[in-house]
Amino acid sequence: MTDHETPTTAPDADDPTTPTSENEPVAERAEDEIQGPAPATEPPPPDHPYDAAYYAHYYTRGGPDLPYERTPEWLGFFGQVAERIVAEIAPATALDVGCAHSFLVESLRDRGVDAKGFDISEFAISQAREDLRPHVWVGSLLDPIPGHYDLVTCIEVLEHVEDRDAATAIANLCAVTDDVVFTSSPDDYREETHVNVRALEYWSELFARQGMVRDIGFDGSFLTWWAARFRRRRDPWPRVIGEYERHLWRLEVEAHHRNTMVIEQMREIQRLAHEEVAPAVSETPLPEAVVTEAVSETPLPEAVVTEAVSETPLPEAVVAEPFASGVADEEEWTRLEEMGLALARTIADRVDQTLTEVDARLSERIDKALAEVDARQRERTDQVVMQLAHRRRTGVRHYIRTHTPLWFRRLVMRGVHLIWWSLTLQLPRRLRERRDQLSDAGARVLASPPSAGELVPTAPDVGDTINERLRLFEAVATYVSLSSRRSVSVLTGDLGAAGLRGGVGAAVMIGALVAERTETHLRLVTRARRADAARVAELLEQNGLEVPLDMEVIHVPPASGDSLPVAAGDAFLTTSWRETRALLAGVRADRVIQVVEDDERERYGLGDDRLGCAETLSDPNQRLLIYGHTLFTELSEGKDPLPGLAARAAWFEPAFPAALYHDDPSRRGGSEKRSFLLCVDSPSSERLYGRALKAVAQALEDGTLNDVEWRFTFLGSGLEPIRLPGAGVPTILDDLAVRAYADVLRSTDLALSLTGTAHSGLAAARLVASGAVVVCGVRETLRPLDEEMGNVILSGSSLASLSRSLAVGTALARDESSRAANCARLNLERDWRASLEAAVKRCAEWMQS
Amino acid sequence: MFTDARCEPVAYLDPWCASYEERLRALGRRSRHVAYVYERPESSSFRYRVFNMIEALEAAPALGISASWFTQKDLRGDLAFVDRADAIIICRTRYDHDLARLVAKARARGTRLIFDIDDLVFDPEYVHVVTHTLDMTQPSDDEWNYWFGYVSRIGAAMRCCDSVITTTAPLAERVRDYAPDRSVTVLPNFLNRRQCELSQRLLGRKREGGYRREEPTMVGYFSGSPTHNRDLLVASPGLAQILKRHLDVALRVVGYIQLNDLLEPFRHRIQVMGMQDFVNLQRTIAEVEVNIVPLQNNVFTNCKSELKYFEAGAVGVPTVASPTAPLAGVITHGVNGFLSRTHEWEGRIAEALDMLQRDPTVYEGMADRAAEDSLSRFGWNRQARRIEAAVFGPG
Repeated sequence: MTDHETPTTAPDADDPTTPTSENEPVAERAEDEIQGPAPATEPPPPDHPYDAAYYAHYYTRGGPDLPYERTPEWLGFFGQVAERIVAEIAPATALDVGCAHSFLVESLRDRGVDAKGFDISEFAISQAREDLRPHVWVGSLLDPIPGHYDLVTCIEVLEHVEDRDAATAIANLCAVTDDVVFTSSPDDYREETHVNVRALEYWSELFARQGMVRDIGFDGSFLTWWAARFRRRRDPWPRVIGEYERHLWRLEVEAHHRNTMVIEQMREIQRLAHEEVAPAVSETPLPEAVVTEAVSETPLPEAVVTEAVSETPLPEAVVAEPFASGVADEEEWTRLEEMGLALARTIADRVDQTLTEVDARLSERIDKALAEVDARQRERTDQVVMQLAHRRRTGVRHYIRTHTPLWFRRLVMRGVHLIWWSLTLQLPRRLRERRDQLSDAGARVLASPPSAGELVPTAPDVGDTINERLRLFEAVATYVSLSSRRSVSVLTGDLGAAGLRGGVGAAVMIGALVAERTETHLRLVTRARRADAARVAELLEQNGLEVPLDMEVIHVPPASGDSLPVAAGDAFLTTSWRETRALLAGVRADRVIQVVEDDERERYGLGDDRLGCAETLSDPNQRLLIYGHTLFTELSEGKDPLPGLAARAAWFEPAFPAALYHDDPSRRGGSEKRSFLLCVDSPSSERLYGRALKAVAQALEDGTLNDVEWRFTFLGSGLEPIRLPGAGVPTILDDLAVRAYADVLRSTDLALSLTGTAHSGLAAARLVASGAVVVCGVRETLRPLDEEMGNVILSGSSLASLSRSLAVGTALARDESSRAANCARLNLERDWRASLEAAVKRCAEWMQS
Repeated sequence: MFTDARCEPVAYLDPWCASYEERLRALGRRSRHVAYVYERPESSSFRYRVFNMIEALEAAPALGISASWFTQKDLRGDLAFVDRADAIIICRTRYDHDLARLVAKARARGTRLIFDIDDLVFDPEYVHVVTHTLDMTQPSDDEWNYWFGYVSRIGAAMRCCDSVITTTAPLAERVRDYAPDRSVTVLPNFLNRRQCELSQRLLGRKREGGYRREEPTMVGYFSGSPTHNRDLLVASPGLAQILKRHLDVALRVVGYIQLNDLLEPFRHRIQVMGMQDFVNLQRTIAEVEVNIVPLQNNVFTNCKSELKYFEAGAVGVPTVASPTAPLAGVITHGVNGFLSRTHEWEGRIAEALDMLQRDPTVYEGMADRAAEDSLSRFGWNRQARRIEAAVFGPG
């Protein structure tokens, strides 16, 4: 019997049934065979091995406490055993041999099985639930068992029965049933009452002698992993052997497959170790850092020595006394000299001792810190540790040499000078000698060997640096598939809500229409996070477009090893220069079409990123689809034009489906507060979030906006809660589905939208289309963002300009009739299909070229 | 879960255990003799493409066809079965010395050689697609060698044969691309007798009990091998939403499958069961309310057969499936199951569950139609003439 700690596997709940002669009288047992079991009448001897103490401690040996008592754990365990027995065997009658406290009998009876049980231990039987008493009795498995049962269970009992009696016990079991669920511990030799621990083959043989054969299809793992079911078989032996063989074959096949899987998993682990653990190690604090930290936490030698010195009477005090008393004869000078030397020696010794202690403490800390470095780092750290070992040996002295000689020299010199200057000129030579000795003593402590073993940081490979710096690892791995269907892929980092509201959403819509026109299929390829196709479908449907029949979702994280099949004639739509460049590692430039929502170059300074961005966008083979004619003009004719744009770029104006973007005065006004929206919507734009906040704060301070009339909402990704002066914390919205987003826009009275780059300003345009008044930057370039449209207030980015614009905006927002009239005058394109027609046609032509 | 479908596990032993002599004798019992060759007996392709075929032919004595199976191991022997066979069907077996010997002998005797293939694993052009579909992110050199070797050898064996039998029309197209001068016949997979019998018994119990159910409502994914991780991922966003919104719904996953990040939070409501033998698999399917068959959308998956539909249909469980060509060919959306595009999984599963809750009779009608369709079109006793036509027909 194993000492199972919890009943998740079979607890060794059952009572052993070792033979005793003290059990029921033969006459009573004979009667039982006719009338059923009789209650126990004869108590076991006082030294019965299976008494209360046995049950109290049996299950606690070798594991956590779980005494065999009426606990929820044991009842739960036997409850689920009974469940399985009922579900899988469905006996009408059952007998639990060695039933102990009769928990299984109880659980079976509670589930409608006419279950009985017996046990050798009167104590155990006495613990049975009151209503079970007629159904359980004290008895021995070595005596004939009364009755006949559909099922006999014998759970962890026979390992308590001597080998010589095992056959009798099995014969008795088999005499009353054709079906036995059986477990007996195969490997627990620790329990002293386990006198017959055997593998299952031993029991199978004994059962076979009774005509009972193991049911090899039975899964008894709900009891123990070694549980078995034996059923009476009348088939010829060859057939039984055949079945065993077939089972054996299946297990061999399974073992083979499992081995194969293990090998695959080992390879995977190797791969992970190579690809993921190594980078993880590189991110773990290096031992150098650990040591630095350890050193920083150790009292500096300076402090230590200062403390040491402070505890030593200073020479000043020593020499001051003879001065004060006017005694300054030869003898006294000699005494003072010796005292000075002794002091210097004391200081030196103490410093030496203290530094030794510091060294030891530092070593201990470093050792401890190194021990905390994860084993994954071990290989990498070994080399560093070697260097550190040297540093540890030399480091303290080195530290002192480089950090402390000045103060130490001052300290020593101070004492010597006192003696020298304050006492007498007769002792200069001696004092100099002593000073020299003192210096030597200090030098013994402080002198550092040459720093030949200085740690030289491992220099990264130039390729790694270039890779990291230029983010070459982001390249999309592709493979040419001659057999794949042609497709239009939208490649982006993430198809989250914010992206779909802006340029990514436009790319998806263009992709869907191009796929439809070219009879190819649409692929949504993401790098950061797997796309939610349902969200994309909603975008298309809400914008009045059909969802392609076979839209495919592909997730290709950078450096994941995943690769993307590319067929001849495929096209890719990207939404940033980084994605474009990532694709160019494996796709022809003229197959990549970037949807441009702003002048990305303006997001960067003059470093590598700007250069990479400018080169990518200027590539003469690079196709661009530009959001709005104004932005197209800016990019083709502005101050920093992209070369050859007319030949390789097309532009499109957005559409504003009426179902989403329309003026709905009923959503505003009334007794409710007006809605102010700070729109920092597009994460792809360079936000002027700080300036916008300042403008709002100023408007609150000067009363242009206030908490009484306005409620404040911020819309954008990654915004943190922030307290506005006198207006509390605004509501922050981000992860909105298309319809919910449109609802927010329609309920807005006044909005502020600022971007730093030349930008499409799509969010601002949608706000205008939804009846809001919008204060926006002059760099937002979409056509509806024209002051002639009435509800648009173009503002400079200075605070004064923003302040004026917000004042005008609040007044206009209150003027419902003017707003409504302005909105009604808008002549907006409502159909994406129409607005994208030219761009889609151009894309299709590019695909055909 | 359907309470009446719950029953004791069925004793199962692989039924393909006859000795070579027994199999050789079985080949010669009738007037026409078909020898099936497979690498070694197992429970997937061998069962569908060899065992089930032989069983169907054996049950149609009027056709006068006896059939038997032989393994690669048998090919190392005297090849006596070649002497007795009128047609030899080489099923998904890789080219090697022994197979070459078999082919040579069959050719010398003028015996018809047919290749049977049930997956797109014969044309090296698709190896990368296959490895990707099977969730091999970055195959090792050995794995590349294995897959190119495997596929090329299957292709070589195919080209040794006169004609080809496949499971689906798209797969037949791919065969025509690869071996343009071979005639190709489509012979779908189907259920064998034990599957049908147990399925009918379980279905009968469900019907008699009025499709009685208890919580939880179970959605089932019966994957088979761990190579379906990417397939499960297709439905995972929708499944996660379903599990999030319907607290009474649980997921049963059968086979070696790794729960992905989307499903992991619901692990406590996901019942993961090990591989089942093909008989008990029917039992585990019968208990669930909705069967799902998500598949990636590529050339490999579009060649896969309809078997996941009819295995569930046979026990009265409607399927929500990706609309690959074969599955779209057998599932009429809203009639005997549901087709779900990539973005529709949540909606389609919800639709099925809603139907179950709101109007069980509609659900039962769908379940009955799926059962009727599965057992009539894919039942073991309806196939013999189709097999005969594929083997002995013109071509």
